[in-house]
Amino acid sequence: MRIDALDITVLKGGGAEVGRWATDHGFRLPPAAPEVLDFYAARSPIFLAAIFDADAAKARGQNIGDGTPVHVTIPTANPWVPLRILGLGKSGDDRIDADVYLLTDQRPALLPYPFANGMRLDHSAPATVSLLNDLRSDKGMDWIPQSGWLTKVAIDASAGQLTYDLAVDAKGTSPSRVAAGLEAPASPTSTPATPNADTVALIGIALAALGAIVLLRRSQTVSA
Amino acid sequence: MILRLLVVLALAAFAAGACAPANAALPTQIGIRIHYSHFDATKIEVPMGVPVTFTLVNDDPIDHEWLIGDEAFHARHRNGTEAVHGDRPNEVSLPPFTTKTTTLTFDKPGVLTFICHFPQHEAYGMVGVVIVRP
Ligand SMILES: [Cu+2]
Repeated sequence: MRIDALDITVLKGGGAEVGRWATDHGFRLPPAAPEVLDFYAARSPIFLAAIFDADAAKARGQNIGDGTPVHVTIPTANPWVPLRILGLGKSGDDRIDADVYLLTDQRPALLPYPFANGMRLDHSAPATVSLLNDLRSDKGMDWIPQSGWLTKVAIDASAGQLTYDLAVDAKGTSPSRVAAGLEAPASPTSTPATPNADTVALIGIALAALGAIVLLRRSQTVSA
Repeated sequence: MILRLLVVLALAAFAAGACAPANAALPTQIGIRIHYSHFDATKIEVPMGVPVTFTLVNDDPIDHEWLIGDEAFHARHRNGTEAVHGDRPNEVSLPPFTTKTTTLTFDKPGVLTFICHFPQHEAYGMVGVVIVRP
């Protein structure tokens, strides 16, 4: 699938399939990749890989740092945000800056709770009508409800600190410790009950889930 | 007299030790597995002067390599541009999920290092030593 200068492929399997895809496309995965890919494969067998085509970006007039928004719809009761993978290829001291926006029906429960752990809760309040109207006016976004809760989590961590993912319970009760990466799944090879059979580990870009929208992007490019 | 006898016994014991090579008990078949970009054996003692066979198993879905040599050898490879090694027994390329064997005879005692020189792999911990015993 082609989106602007990105070639996006859905991969099913685990570390072996992602490794093969990378080799076939001339990429060399960093040394932490085998462990990180197994970490995600144990939770979900589906990966989304994206190739950035620099020539196509140049032809489109895109500059370095220009983001390409990607809208991915994943039916799931509870979204989950892969954070650990952001540190792939970085050394332990390298900084990771990202913003995660969550729009849920009500105030969500988060795990780990963003406090002094490389995450910061920057915003947590009912979403304003003007924001919801604005989001709804975008292409493919007419599903945006009339009311919701907006959460912004800022990631400001060293790569070594980011050993977890962000688990979300949209009903506000008990986020999954497995989805947060704090606990191993009971049976790594079976279809994971948590967070969801259709969850996707993303390599690098953005994730959006039905019922909740998660936008993950570099702090520097945030213009909202 | 007793003292002299003890000295003689001590010399005899030393001579006996010299007759049976100290390295005879060291293995000549070595297995090294790579998992999550680490070697599972990082300190290996081998005998000098006899062929030693290394069986190298790459369990990872990514490429690795096993290069063994002295510091000067590794300094060359750290800055090397050779993507694939094939012909030399001390330079083994290991594609994902492959097993290879290589046989080396070490002709002098000392410490050699084996390293994977793909970018970031050495810093990630893909380093081990082989101690060659006379
Ligand atoms: Cu390696």
